Order: sequence, then structure tokens, then C-alpha cells
Amino acid sequence: MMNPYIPVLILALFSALIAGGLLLLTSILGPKRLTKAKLEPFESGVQPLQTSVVRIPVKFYIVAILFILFDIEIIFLFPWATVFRELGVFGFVEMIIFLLMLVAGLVYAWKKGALEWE
Amino acid sequence: MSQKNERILSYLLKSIKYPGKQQITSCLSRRDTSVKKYASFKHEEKDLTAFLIFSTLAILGALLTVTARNPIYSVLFLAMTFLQISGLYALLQAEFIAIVQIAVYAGAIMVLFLFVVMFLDVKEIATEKNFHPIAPVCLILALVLLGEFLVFIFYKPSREGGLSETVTAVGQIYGTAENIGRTLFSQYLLPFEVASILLLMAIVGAVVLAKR
Amino acid sequence: MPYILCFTVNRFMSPIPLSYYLVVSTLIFFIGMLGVLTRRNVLIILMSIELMLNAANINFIVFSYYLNSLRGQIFVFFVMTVAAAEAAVGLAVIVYLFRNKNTVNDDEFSLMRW
Repeated sequence: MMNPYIPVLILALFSALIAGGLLLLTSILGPKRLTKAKLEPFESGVQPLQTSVVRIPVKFYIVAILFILFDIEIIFLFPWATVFRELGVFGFVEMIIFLLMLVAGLVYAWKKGALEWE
Repeated sequence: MSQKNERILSYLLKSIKYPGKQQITSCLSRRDTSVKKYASFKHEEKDLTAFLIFSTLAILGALLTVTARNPIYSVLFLAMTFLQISGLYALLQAEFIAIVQIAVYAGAIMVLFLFVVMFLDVKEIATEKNFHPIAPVCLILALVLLGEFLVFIFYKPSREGGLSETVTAVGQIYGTAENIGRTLFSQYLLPFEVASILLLMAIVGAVVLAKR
Repeated sequence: MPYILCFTVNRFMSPIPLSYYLVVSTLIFFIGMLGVLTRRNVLIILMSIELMLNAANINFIVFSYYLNSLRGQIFVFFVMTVAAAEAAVGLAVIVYLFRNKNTVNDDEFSLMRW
């Protein structure tokens, strides 16, 4: 019997091949006449203002936390969705309770102004 | 096998209800316990290769995570380790958990770490001293614990064999989303609802702490 | 020595034994513990804790496979939920500490108040 993970392997090999192959090809085939302008990081033709190492504002962190919230929510929804018919009304009610809890977290963050972007 | 061990094992077996119970108990009672004899399932030999690749890369990634100077490299190596561990899960037929590992660990948690590393002053951190001056002592202590673990894994209390020989029952259970869901939403209902409260607390705590 | 050789050769022909997985998870746990004990950067300490959690997760999955039980996998599911919550709050604490002390070196955080 064929291993069911063969397609995954093929996908991984292809993505590695494309990512690595393109990098390799450009470094082999492309001419290398380096000037000062070419060595600058590409910013669509605009002069770079600063280095890429900058401190990002902490607001992004709260957005990332909300992302985690919904990530976990989805992770719990997937197995629930596959057995939804078997569980019936009871399963529906328990998932609604779960979702209400997480929505309460979202509402709290909202009220606290975590989503404001002044 | 000593009396005490036998009691513990029988207790364990009683508490666990699974189809492979007979196999393990028969395994325990017999003298000769070569793995070949009792394995009733067939691993392809390719699986061992995959296992070796995954585990080597996982351990390598873990080592680089701990030793990297720059925290950004640490985060990326940690993500690599998590991906390899997800491969190990797939080998063990825990397919859904393997996907969850990628989505939660390599996806969400690593993004969070990366955000915080970017928030902190990267240049200053990278030039700091990495290790405590007492690191060698810690290494020795950790090595002692590692030795203890390895002894526990390979220890053979009697001719019946140790932990690794006695448990050689087979993986007939597939951790698909359906199976997980069926167990999760019937048997583990309370933990599931408690998890939502935990997440709510985490949100509130994080927002309170991170908001100025 | 011949025993070890026999052991190894035998294992290559047969299914992956439980002990292989246990050794891998032990090593990852060990590395994670080394990170917690020796590193000074609080962020990397938190990452090492995640490594140790993952080592425990591997054990859960391995035993669920070899014992034909789904319990270990359910447990890992909840461990992941807890890990996400822990990372969110732990990183928020680090952000808070960094704002107050302007460093992530754990030696600086020796006082309960400042």
C-alpha cells in the first residue's frame, strides 16, 4: 500500500525545490556588477530611511494575542465540526458556551481599547 | 518482576481501557520478550529513516535554539524544532495533533514570540552575555538528570525486560479529527469548557499587562 | 558489547521501539532544561520552557500510540491550549518587565518591587 504521506512529501520537495532553485539560479546565472545603489535594500526605488532592525510598537502584540485566541478557537471547532451530527443539540450548546467565553475575551479587549489604532 | 512492580502495572492496566490490553499483559507474563515476536503490525522500514531525520533535526533545532546568540535565530530554530516534532506526531498516527502542532505552535505561538523579540531592543540584547557564569554547574546537574532518565528508559528490572520491551503493543488507533472530536466532546467535556475559561483569563491578563 | 550490537541490528529490522521516541523526548527535555538553567535572556528561557512542554507532548503521543488509547492525544490538545495561554501571559509579563527595567536579563529581576 502506498504511504498516505507521499503527497505531502512531494509538496514539501516541490516547495523546497522552487524556493532553493530560484535562489540558486539567480545567484549562478545573474551577472554580478555590484554598485552602491544596488547593494542597498530594495524599497521600490525609495531611499531607505533606516535599518530594518527597529522596535515595533506593542499594539501589534495585542493583535497577535487576539490571533492566538481565534487560532485556538478554530482548533477546537475542527474536531467538533466533523462529529457535529453525532453530537446533536447537546454538542451545539456546549460549543456555544465555549464560543461565548472566548467572545467575552474579545469584548473585554475591545472595551479596553486594544483594537483602537490612534 | 518484583511484587510491587507487578501491582503497579496491573493497576495501570486496569485504569487504562484499550483494545491492546491482552497483548501487553501476555507480553508481561512471558519470559522471552523480543520485540519482533509480539509486534503484530508492520512498520515500513522507511518509517525508521523518517524517524531518524525528524528526530535528528528536532534535537539539532533545540540545541541551536538554546545556544543562539540572537533571539530571532532562536525563535526561528524553535519553529523548525516544532515542525520536526509535528513530523514525529504524523509518524505516530496522531495526524490531527500534527496539524494542530503546526497551527498553534509553529503558527501562533512563534508569531507571538517573534513580535516580542521585535518589540524588544534587538541590537542591545544580541551583544549581551549569553550564559550565566554558573553554566558548567548547571550542565553537570542537567547531565545527571539526563542519565537518570536514560537509566529509567533502559533499565531492566528482571528478565521480562524493562519499560521499552514490555510496551510493544500496536498503534491501531488513528488520531483523526473525527476520533479526537468524538472523545473530546463526550468524555472530556469539562476540560474543554475549562479551557475556554483559561483562554479568557489569558486574554484579560495579557491585555492588562501589555496595555499601557 | 555484542548485546548492544545485536540490539541495534535487531531494532533496524523491527518497528521503531518505544525507547527511541523516549530517548528523543528526553534529549529535547534535557536541552530545554539546560536553556532554562544557563541562559540569561528571559525570552530564551520561555522558549526553553516551550521545548520542555513539547518533549512531554512527544511522550504523551508515543504512549497513546503504543497503548492504543486516544487519551494521550487529548491531553496534548489541552497542553497546547495551556501553552498558548502561558505564552500570551508570559510574553506580556516580559513586555511589562522590559518597559520598567529596559532589559531582559533575568539577573536584573531579582527584586519583588522597585
